[in-house]
Amino acid sequence: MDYKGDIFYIDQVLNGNINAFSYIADRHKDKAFNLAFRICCNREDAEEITQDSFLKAFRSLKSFKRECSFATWLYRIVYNSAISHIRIKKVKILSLEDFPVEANDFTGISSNEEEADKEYLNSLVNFALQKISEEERGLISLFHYEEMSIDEISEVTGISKSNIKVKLFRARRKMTEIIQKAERKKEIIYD
Amino acid sequence: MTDPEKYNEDFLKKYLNHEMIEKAPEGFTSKIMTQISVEPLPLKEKRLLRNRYIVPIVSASVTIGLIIITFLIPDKESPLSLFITQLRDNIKFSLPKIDLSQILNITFPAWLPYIFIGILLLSVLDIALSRFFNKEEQQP
Repeated sequence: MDYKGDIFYIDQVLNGNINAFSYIADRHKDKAFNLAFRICCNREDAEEITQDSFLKAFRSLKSFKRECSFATWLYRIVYNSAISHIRIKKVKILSLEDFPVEANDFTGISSNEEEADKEYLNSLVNFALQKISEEERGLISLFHYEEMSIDEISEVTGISKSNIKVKLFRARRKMTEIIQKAERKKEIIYD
Repeated sequence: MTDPEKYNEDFLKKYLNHEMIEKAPEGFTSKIMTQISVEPLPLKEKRLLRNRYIVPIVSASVTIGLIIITFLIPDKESPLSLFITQLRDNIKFSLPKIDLSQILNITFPAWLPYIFIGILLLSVLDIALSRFFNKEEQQP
């Protein structure tokens, strides 16, 4: 079935058709979950945060003023919830020794080599993300995964555009250094 | 020399891209719908809308009613017209006469206008603050 747009389903929900919310949830669940997961680096926490965010969105649907897109509004809820969650629950900072060296370390949990490579890359990214602040993780996720513009990120996070550019630059630099270090460590072990 | 910002962005593209998005677990939507089914419905506030329109509706009805009555009243010589005129005159006589001269002679203290200006300014400030905080409350 063709998706008729967020506003159509929002109006349906506000007119009493509760099931219309399932189309909205289905449409946005992956991106919302990804944002929560990248900020808190934990699947269970991310699932809880995303569920809570959808519930909050449902409860406050009538106060959604439609000045921005529903996605921006929803991501704002997810972003704020994830940031608050991570600040309450102090997460352990990992050291480089904690990171597995190469794709073979993931063959046990993956069915083939390609999958193992993907898992390795994913873990490397998660590892690097854990080394930067939760705010930087959110910005990286919104820019690179959700492919949002600086203007949209500013709407979601409430941070000024110029500040976002500076923070993104620093976050990217840190992540590049961390990933390069991890890759170098792998090379040294195998040489 | 390579721009460090561009270099970092290009380098990270291999690791961070839309295809590597972490997907929500299976049955996520149905879990949400189960939780939502026990929630009260976020229906549009119909009562509020009705209240918003009640004043113009009543006002328009009264105006239309009065216009219709002017067309329905027959000429001045008819018994109904005479009855209405008599009724109006009776009302006029029954009303007490108000002596405004005593009220107009009252002298108010000089500081009273300042008090009224103060109340007015505080009311404006109160409305502004109330709007500001209501707006904050509405944000999720």
